[in-house]
Amino acid sequence: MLAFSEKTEAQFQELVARYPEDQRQAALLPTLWLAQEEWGWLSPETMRYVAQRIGVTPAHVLGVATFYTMFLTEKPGEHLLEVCTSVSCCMTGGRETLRSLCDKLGIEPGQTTPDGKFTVRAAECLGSCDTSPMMQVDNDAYVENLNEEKLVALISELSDKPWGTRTKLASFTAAGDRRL
Amino acid sequence: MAFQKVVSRHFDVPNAHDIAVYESLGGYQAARKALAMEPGAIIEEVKTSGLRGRGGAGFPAGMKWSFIPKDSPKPKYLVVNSDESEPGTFKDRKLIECDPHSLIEGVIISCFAFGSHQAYIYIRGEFNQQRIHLNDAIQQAYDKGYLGDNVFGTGYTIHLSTHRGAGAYICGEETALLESLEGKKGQPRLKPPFPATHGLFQSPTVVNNVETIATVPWIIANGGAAYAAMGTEKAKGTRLMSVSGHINKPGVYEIEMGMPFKDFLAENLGGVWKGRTLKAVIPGGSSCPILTAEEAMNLTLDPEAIAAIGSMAGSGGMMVIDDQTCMVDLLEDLTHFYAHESCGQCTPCREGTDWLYKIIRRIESGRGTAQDLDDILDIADNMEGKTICALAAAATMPTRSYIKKFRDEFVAHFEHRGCPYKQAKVPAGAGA
Amino acid sequence: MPKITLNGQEVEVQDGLNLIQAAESVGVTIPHYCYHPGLPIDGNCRMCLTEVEGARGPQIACNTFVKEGMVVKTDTPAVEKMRKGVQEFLLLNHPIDCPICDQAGECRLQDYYMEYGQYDNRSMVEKVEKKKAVDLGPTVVLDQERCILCSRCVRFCESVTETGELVIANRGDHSAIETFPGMELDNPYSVNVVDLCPVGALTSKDFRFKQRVWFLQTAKSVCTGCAKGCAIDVDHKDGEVFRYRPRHNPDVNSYWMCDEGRFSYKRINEDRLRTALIEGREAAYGTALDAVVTKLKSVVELYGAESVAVVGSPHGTVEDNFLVNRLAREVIGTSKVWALALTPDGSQDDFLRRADKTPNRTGVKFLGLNDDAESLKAALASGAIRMLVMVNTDLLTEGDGSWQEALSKVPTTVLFGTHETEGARKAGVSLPIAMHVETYGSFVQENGILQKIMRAFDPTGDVLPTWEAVGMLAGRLGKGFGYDDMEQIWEDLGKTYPALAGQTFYALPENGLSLPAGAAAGSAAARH
Repeated sequence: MLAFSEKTEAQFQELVARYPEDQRQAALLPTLWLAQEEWGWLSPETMRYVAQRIGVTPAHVLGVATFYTMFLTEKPGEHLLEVCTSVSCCMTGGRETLRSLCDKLGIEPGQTTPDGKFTVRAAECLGSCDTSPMMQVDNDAYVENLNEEKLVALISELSDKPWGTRTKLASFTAAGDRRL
Repeated sequence: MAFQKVVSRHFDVPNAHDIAVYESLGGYQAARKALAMEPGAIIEEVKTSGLRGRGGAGFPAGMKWSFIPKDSPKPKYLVVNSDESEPGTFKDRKLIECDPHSLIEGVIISCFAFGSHQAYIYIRGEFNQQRIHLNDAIQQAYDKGYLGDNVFGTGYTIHLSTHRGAGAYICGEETALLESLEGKKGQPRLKPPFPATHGLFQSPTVVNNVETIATVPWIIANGGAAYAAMGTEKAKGTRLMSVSGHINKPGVYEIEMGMPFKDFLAENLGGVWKGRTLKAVIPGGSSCPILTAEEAMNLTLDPEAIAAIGSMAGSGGMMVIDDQTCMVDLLEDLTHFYAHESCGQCTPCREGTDWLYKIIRRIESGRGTAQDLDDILDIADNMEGKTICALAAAATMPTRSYIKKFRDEFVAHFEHRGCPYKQAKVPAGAGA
Repeated sequence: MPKITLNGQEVEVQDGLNLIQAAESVGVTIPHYCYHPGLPIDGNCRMCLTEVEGARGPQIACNTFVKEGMVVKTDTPAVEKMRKGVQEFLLLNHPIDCPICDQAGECRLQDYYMEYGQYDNRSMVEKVEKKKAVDLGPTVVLDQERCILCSRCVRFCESVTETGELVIANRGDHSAIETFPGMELDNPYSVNVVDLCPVGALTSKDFRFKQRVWFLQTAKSVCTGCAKGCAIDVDHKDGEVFRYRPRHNPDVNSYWMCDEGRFSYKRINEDRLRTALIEGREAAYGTALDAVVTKLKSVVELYGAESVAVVGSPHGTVEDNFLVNRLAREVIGTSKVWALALTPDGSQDDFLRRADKTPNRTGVKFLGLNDDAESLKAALASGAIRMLVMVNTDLLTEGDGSWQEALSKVPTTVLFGTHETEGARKAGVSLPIAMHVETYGSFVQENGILQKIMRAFDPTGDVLPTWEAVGMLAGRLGKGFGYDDMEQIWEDLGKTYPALAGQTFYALPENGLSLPAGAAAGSAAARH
């Protein structure tokens, strides 16, 4: 039987308290996030656990989890690289960047490298059109103004980081892409 | 009154996201002032300012608040729409990064104005670092007693938390957002009833965009009239423009309503990149009908002027397109977006968006015929206005405009049996 | 009652109706897929778009409620185009596999295509591939490609059974009905989703591939699975029942029925008693009936009429039991009349399933018949009963040890029975009688609502409807009732039971006749 770690459980209790007592279901998305961060993806077992913690049917959780693209109901590689290909990025080389990234990793968009290290997907607009082409790493950090050098450096930097390492991508934030 | 920056006034101040810096700039004075006012007077002040929603629909903010029933026994909610997902739009992201406290201060004033004690900021899942950053700012406000059970010592309660989305454009539609916030799929609700009476948890709810709420403190501090003195007769004040595409200086700019595009391009955006020529402009986000270079160069940037030439000011997400861009390719990318983001609820949108994409993909790949264009327009007609929300129209309106204004490019694809620009090496949305 | 203008005609409609219902009430059909009156409104299919004066754009009729003075148009070229458009969208990714689809013949996609579609195919795009023949559970199969995502089945499981097994997963045109991995659609009402499905996406494992629906005929009837008495349609062909479907009765079952009741039709086709039996051996009907007559006469002569006990049944109709009572009291002259069955209690819930698995217990009580099993058993055990006539109640099969002991004291048993049971073989004489779908009549469900059943087909073999068989026996005993049809029986029922006075069988209300509480006061009359 699954259970949240102590730390996650505390976060869960904190977030459930944000919503009215009779509206516990409102905590579903944040709880799925907690679960995904804890276990890497949303396996059926995980979804069942979340359903039970929130008090909804497993089917409801399935519907919600598969509706939102950031919830991973199939096991991804250790690092998820999502290259934006929507309008602005499309105009400034997003697709070429996606192609280049895939070529470097020897896979097609939507696939995971055979060593299980990287999954690459195309993403719809990530809201960083001024820094296009860009990508999101592990549902978290943005890597922006992408070029060939950055792609190479990124792959190299991530290769050493196992899953679950918070992607504080020093080399890119230091470059002044984002102040956060 | 001469133009001055309102909502972006702290963008260039180092560390304005820190509450100490924000307060040193006069931050939270407006909230203190507001909490000493009659709530009705706050609403009046915002009405006076003429502030309209900055999420895309442009509904007057003060009027929206006044729809909240005063005698409802149910709790009232403020929900801030930070789902910013319209392609080309990134101003709210910038605002949260640079000046989160102006948003929090706006939340405090707005809640007090219409009697809410609970606010949520629904932030798109992709903005995770921004969410963490915003949470830090919210914690600072709690620590100072600006949020919580005794706001500024007045005894008034306001609780605020962020709520992370998980990747769905449609959640920018306010009722889809409410569904999502309630732990469901983000599928727009049938209306009526409207959120003002049956919103979050079936209670009276105001849903406002980040920029709208973040503008409120300035209005309270400086007066609605000062805000209304800027801009045009009908479009008061200023607004943030997210500008991207083929320009030298992409970014977020605050402009006075009614600024000529020509000046904006030359003065702020540094002109079209690589010394190229302007071909087209998407004025307010990807769902707005496209403008030719000529239309754009004669345009002033205010909702009425843009509407007058058949497009929309939308969310202020402007995309500038140079002369080496294939418009069919761009439309293919854009229709793929809407097909991918259709929630799947209404038949015409669920089926129609993907159908449009597939036809345009066919044209781009050189297998289209002139009949396809007639079909597209007819399919678009069967989609528009036939669905619960406006996503279908968000796909069809630009589609129509591309065909209308750049028909010769489509024809060129038929004649060349392929894309004359030969740019796209990867199909739009592959592997998405 | 608000007045609205519908397609130029001013009509008066009931307050509170949506436009689909309001139009329907004045004979105008507004096509729709997702709307169902028994489910929450979802408004997703967009087939019911209409023009409402003053509204911003076309409005869905399902979520637009009548208001005084509303001006509605459903017959304009614009509305026609919208319907055509929706049809085209729905068929865009549909496999159009009607020749192998069980829904063909009762499919809204087909019907509406003929009515509102009729366009030239211009799709020429690849269809989205989804899962075929998905086993959803013990009763239902799903074809995701045929599904139009109207969400009726999902809403049924959410709001009616509140079991929530089904969900629409994914989004956009990749949306599909799913169950959670490893979980099934397995609730006691599951097959209702098949009835609800307007297309061929959900099919019943029990019914699929068995029969083309256009060959089926339908009779209005009542489910005999329990005391709830759900109104049903019986779909049959050539003397065989293929399925039950719930029939709307707002006072009884709304639009639904349970799976157990739904599948109870199978009993009609299985192990039926088709010929008379004398001591377990097949006999000509007349011979068997004569044997009963001879025996009755001799028992009455030797031991008196009170030594004959007659037992009717809550499995039988009101009419049958009325005649059983008359047979006993007027023809045989005995006061030893009961009406009971030893059918064991079954599953029960607070929705439609009742533990009492007989359809007419309230009816026999209304008739004033004694349903006290213990008193019957005691009478039998006392040895005073020399002959027992059981009509549609198989005590010999259903009775436990103490019953068997009591029954062993009765020298002669006669069973009017439906099935070739152990009891039918054990009885001195067994006479085959019709089941509910093979006769006319009525049942009174638990809340006192009398609903009529219509004959689907005539019984085969030597089987007779009970009322005819009992009437024939009365005739051979020299006191025939002279009934040729239900109307005549109802004339006499009306004379005997004030609550039924003035009613005629054929004019009984569609949703049943609600018998006033305590109407069984008529029972006094029944006992003379």
